[in-house]
Amino acid sequence: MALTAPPSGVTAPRASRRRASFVKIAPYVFLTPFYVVFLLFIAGPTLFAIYLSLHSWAGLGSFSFVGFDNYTNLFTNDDFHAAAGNTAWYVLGALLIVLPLSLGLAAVLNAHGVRWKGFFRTSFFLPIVLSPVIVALLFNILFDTGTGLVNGVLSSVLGVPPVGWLDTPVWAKVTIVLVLIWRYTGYLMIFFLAGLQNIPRELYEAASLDGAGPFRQFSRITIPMLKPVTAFVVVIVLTGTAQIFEEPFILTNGGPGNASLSITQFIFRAAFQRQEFGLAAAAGVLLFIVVFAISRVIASVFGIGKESQ
Amino acid sequence: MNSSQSNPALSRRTFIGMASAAAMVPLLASCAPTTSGVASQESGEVTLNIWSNAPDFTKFFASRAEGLSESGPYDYTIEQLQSDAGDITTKALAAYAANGALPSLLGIEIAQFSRFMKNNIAGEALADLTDEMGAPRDAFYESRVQPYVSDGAIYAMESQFPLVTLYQRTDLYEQLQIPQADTWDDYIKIGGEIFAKHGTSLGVIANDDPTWFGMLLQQRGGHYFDEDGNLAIDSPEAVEVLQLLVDGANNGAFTVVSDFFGGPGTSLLKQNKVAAYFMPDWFNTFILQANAPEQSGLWKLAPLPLFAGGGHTTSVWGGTGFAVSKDIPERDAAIALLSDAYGTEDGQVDRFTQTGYLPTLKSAWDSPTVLEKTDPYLGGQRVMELYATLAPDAPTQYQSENWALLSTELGGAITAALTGRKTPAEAIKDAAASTESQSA
Repeated sequence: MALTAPPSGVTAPRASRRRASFVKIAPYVFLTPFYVVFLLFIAGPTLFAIYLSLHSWAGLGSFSFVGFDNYTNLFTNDDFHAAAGNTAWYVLGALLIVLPLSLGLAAVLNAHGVRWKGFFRTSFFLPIVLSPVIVALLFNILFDTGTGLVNGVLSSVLGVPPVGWLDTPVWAKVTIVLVLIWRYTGYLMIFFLAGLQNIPRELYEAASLDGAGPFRQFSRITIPMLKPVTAFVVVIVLTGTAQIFEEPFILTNGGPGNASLSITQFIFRAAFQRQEFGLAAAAGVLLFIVVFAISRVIASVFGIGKESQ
Repeated sequence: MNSSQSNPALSRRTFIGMASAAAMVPLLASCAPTTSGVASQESGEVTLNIWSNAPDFTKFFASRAEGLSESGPYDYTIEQLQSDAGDITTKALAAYAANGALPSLLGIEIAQFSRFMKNNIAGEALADLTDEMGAPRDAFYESRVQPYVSDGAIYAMESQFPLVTLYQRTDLYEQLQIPQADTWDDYIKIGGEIFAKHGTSLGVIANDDPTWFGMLLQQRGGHYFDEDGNLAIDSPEAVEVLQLLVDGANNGAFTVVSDFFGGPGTSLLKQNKVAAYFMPDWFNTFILQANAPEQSGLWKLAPLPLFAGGGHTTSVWGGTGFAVSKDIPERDAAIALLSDAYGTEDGQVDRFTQTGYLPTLKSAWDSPTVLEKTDPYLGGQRVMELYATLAPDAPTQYQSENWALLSTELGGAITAALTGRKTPAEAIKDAAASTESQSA
């Protein structure tokens, strides 16, 4: 039997149908990798954490349903209270000290006439690329009460008695905030610098012609024009600092006592030192809810997304 | 009929549903209960995965496996995974939960064993070694068996006997004419005087680490938990010991550092400002020799001062017990190797020779190889003569699933007492109450 081509009237609709269904499926195919990763590593674990927070589980064996017991335990748990208070300290320290400092540094580096800009930018950025282990070791040696360089200098130059930087509850938190300042100011400065460089020079020139001084220019032009960058930086500082782990873990291990314990460290201890995964999950869920709610409030205050609408 | 009807397109809802199901499968699979009753291999080639926190252990097991391959039914190949004590335990627990690649022999640092006591994880994941240690339980020092007991069964065999003694800098003792003290009260008094005159301490403690408190508490005869796992910390012994540390810190007999094992502790060691430490045997190799090789020959061991109110002549702190995974085909081969290496006199003497860890089997202490050992770092001292007198009097450490919780609370209590925010009695009472409330 000879092979004959099918009538063109049959082929055309089939090909067009195939093309049409491919066009419909294509977006899903392209989106699939994202959704698989999202579901596997974000949505799945989140749902599992919520499920786990309602159960008691030691990491092996069966789950036993405990309802909201893990959440109520958190509200009566002294360690969790301490961790929440300390984390609030770190967040406030980062928002009220690191943020203004990085903006100020960025403004200085963006000013005309400043020499060695590249050198300063690199110097300020360097701490963020250093390994946290090295940072912790360094700060441990610097801030030790008996043998630290800081106390040595304070005592020999100013005659100040030794300060328990890492030994006393308040100073331990202060030291961790100092590490945050040292480590993140230069990093956040880069965001502000990028924002500053995008502000048209003409605005400053016009303001100058109208008689506005540097302070007025800063408050009336720079700060409003940096609003989107500031909103972004505030949100990443908030979410990052609320989940702070490395600095207190390596520098003080949450101590002395629980004086510098962060919420993520509390979660780590509950899960991986005490095998209380339900309690750890409840703390994680609670942290997520609080950080998410505050982020939404900040987004709303800064009007993030409103311009695009 | 249009094409969309004949070839129904994937709806968004269907797509998300399918993707969700796909994502949940591995999660749910990972939570599936572990299988049990795996048949154990009886002979032939076998690969043992040894997970531990120190390379010495694996090297030693590998050397024993070589000998055992020639004489026993198994032909061993050793593979290893090494990480720090906490991480290796976490990895192992994750592996047991996921029923993934399991360790054949797992090194469990003593403080980590409490994690296996929660919800009877030890019984679920580890082989019961009670009758498979190579020697009966009473052939070992009970001090080194009890820490790995859960619900009456022994789940690990100890690798070391970390007896606590006084490490003294002989040159500083001579130069500063430091007298020997019989009791801790005298020691603190002498330490205060020496510090006032020369600025040199007779001990170093960390500001929120319960190690030194725990060592002295056990020497005094106190415990964190009793034999049944009940909280026993709120005791006169605990208050006495914490008071001793506070007194020592206040008069300079003890220097307080934020990190004993890190930079501050090490720099203090090298500044010649400390004439003595009270530490277990591993302090010699892991801290002194590693950080201060130039001080070789300047140190010697002496027995601890005693508590006037009673207690032991020594204490113990630290240790790593080796356990065998329960549901693995190589279980019997792993137990054979473990019982040969840790449960026979020959194995324990060999372990002592290769790694320096003190034997836990009583009969191994009679071996001339063990007794005649001299330590060049300690000026050629015949250290085993001292250890041999202390070993039979070593206190026993009782475990509890709340060990980590209490340790954390004690860290806070020690800080509070050292800084004067609480009296030792208040600090201990609060730590006990907080532990009690959180473990309820």
